Amino acid sequence: MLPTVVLISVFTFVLLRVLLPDSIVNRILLTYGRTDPELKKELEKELGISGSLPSQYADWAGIAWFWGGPKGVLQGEMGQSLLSRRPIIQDLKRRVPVSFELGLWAQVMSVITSVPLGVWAALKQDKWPDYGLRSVAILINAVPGFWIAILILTFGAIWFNWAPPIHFKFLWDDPVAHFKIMLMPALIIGLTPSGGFIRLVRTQMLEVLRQDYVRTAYAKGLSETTVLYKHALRNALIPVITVIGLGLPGLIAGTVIFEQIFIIPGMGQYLIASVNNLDYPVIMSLNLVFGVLLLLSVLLVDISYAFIDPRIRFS
Amino acid sequence: MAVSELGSIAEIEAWTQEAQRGFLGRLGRALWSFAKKKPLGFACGIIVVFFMIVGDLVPETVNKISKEAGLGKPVPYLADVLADHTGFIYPFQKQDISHRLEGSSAKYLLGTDPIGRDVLSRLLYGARVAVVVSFATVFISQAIGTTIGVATAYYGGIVDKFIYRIVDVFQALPGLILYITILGIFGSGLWQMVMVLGVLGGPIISRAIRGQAIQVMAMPFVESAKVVGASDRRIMFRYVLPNVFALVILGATLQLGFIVLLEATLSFLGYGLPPPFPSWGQMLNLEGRQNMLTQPGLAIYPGLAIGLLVFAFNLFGDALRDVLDPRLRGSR
Repeated sequence: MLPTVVLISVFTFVLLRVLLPDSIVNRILLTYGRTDPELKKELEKELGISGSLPSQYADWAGIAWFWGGPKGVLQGEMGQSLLSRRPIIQDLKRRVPVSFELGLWAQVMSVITSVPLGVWAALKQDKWPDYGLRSVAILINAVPGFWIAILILTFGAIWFNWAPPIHFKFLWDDPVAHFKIMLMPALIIGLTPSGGFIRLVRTQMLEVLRQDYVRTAYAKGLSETTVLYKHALRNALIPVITVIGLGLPGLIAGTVIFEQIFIIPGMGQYLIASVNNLDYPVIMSLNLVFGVLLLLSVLLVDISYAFIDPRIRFS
Repeated sequence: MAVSELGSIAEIEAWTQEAQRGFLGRLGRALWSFAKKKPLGFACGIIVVFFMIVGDLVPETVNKISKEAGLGKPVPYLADVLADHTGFIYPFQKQDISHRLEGSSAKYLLGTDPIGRDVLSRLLYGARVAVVVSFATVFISQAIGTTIGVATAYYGGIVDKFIYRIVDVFQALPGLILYITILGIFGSGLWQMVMVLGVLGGPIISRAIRGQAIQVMAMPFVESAKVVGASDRRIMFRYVLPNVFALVILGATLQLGFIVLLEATLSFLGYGLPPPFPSWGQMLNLEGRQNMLTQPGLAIYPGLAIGLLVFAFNLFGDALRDVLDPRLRGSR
């Protein structure tokens, strides 16, 4: 995992610092119709992109700090935004919890809706709840989430005179207003993966319900709920957790889109604003943070195997 | 080998008859049996073909190639032909200021947008973006993914380790973030989008192909080819590649719908084709979101088009998988 983090940082650095600032400098020079190399050098100095590439990387990553350079990412110092001149870390401290919370809510919503529905579809195999849920799952897979959001906004306004609150409230300021804002986007982000989850839970349940140990459990005279939730569901959920891990990039993408639609000041909004303004220090930090967050979440999912899968817990 | 292992005499006769047919005859029979086994999947296949025609996939590709090569007259686009010769399809930029934000009428079948452009025509032209981007992207990424997958499975060892270390990085960065970064900074357009989505998607796909290729590498016929002294390239192209090709086709059909959604998302966020050329995601964002109270149709139709195309791709892919690979039946 650690080498991957290092490689991500190198990749984002190469992508942005090598290719972009040059074009920023050229764009500024072009705007003012100047071509003199002195001005170019001065601009490069001001943007912090003078010197050789490895030394720039060492400065940015904070490796240079160990022999007396400036503080870098390793020391928790990501430079400042070109646009607002605020330290990036200060913005991130405000925005990362918001996005993380949104993603977490979305994940919770999708799991708590799709697992019971999947179980229900498996129990009613080849009856109308099964057909209905399978069709719904296929439809959900085909329809873009942001379209559903637009439809809800449109018809919520037309039919119920409802619109999401515009002014964002933080959790510690006003919890009730905060959850009112977060509920709808979390539901819709959670909807997108739940189509796949319903189908997966259903097939896994069907598989497990045919196993010998389930029959044994019934034969022992255990109640229906005990068999279903203690013997069958826990075993059926193991592959679901894998899929949750695989779906995390999609979840992050969802937060980016819905922060934009529902005006939530998270990392996605920050990313889009900074990309539109070519604010490359921010873009670089955000790519790194998104990558590290994704890696950490995947790690978390891996750890949660142990809680569900007794084979891992007892080995 | 005993006859019983092959099947009954009648079956063998059926195979010989099959082999004696021409290519078109076999294709027709294969399609017919597919339609009988999977009627819904076949219907979705027809929708896919319909969108391929409406989306001008053939003229776009042919013109691109002939322009690069510098030969021949361009093939006309279906949408342009319809705009010239029918009464209800207009060029995508044609404005009718006196009919702004109207509902559906005989002249404008799905109504008009805030500057008086016909929605149906813009949907028709938008199909080109969705279809061309999805097919071209899938082609590029599957080509890259197959190359990497087969090559790493064949050479193994340090090459394999090194390449998959890099692939790990691509997988660790959330796709959409990377696409927004690159397209937003370096500017977007039809072919930029295809290149970015295709090239960055390739390594991620290669993992599945590598797994299959490693299985094929363990087969006796690959070993015997090595013993006979076949070159590396020959083994890869003639022995390994044909055996992973079914997986490549399946991956491609299942990837198509995903790419359509991705393209719509990027266009919706403003990193797709720059206006005025319409794409469905962009129509939802620019026209749909701002006029949803006065003309809700603007927010409905492009989403329906996206949904229909993705639905068709997904179900067609599922049906194809069930027919081609019985082991995977019902796994989703």
